[in-house]
Amino acid sequence: MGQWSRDADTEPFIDLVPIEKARGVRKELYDELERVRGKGRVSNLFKAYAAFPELASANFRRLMVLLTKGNLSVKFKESLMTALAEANKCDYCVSFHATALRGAGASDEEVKAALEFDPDRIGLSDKERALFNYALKANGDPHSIAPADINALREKGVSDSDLIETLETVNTGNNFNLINGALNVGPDDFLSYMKGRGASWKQSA
Amino acid sequence: MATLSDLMQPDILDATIASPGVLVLDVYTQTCVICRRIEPMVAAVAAASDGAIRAHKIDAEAHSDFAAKYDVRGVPTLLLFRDGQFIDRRSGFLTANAMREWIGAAAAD
Repeated sequence: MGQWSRDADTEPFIDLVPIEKARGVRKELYDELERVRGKGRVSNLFKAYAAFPELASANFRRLMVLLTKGNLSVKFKESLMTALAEANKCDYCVSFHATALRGAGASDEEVKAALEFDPDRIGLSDKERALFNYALKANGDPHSIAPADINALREKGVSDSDLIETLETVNTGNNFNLINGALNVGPDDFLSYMKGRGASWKQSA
Repeated sequence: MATLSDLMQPDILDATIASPGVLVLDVYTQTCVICRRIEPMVAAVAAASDGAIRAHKIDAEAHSDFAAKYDVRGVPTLLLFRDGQFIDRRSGFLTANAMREWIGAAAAD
């Protein structure tokens, strides 16, 4: 039950057009990604998404809203997406979000805590720690969320906006994990941190 | 470990349960979506416990006698043992943190 992402030596199931060959709407998307993330940092995920460039652009804008707006910290959102990547057994996604989590100020120990689904060991606010557990519970079984869960969050000061922001973080993480898993999209060349996690798990299993 | 080893053989299952210490058995079925969601949580709790908690999974359909013996009525069900004795159960999804609290409280009784 449950396989990690396929080995890196297996080709993606979709054409990942390199930056230098992008044209038209795809090039506009790549240019926007490089403008925001830096030269050469067009992720394999968005190279895959770019098979439908308009949808890719909409998704990138949506991602930018999620990461730059709202009340919750980037550290919280990247912690959660790192945990989801681990739960979804997505090598690429663990590497990408663990790197982003480090970029948001987390230590190696905090990254490890995210991979162990333990927000109590991550430097987050009480509200965000509660939302982390809520998000994992919603991801595990959304229908198991009860009024008592919401009341407990309210006591931590959680707003309606916080709930939407959290659940959309879950959606985004799962969405990207699914695209990468189902299309065998592997880690980006510019990533090195936490790369090959699936292989290390296989060795230790 | 990101996944749990599957207990397939009855003699290994019995020996695993009888072993000293705290054991979590994750009772699942192949088609259960929530079971796939809880498995990484169980695995992470065990992996982070430095050996204090062992965890395995067992297919309820392949081991229907075992499921009946422990009155498993739905999956996922987590069965908690200490020193070979059954001490508690939880059904449905649990986050890793909720699992840690449950195991900590139940195993301390």
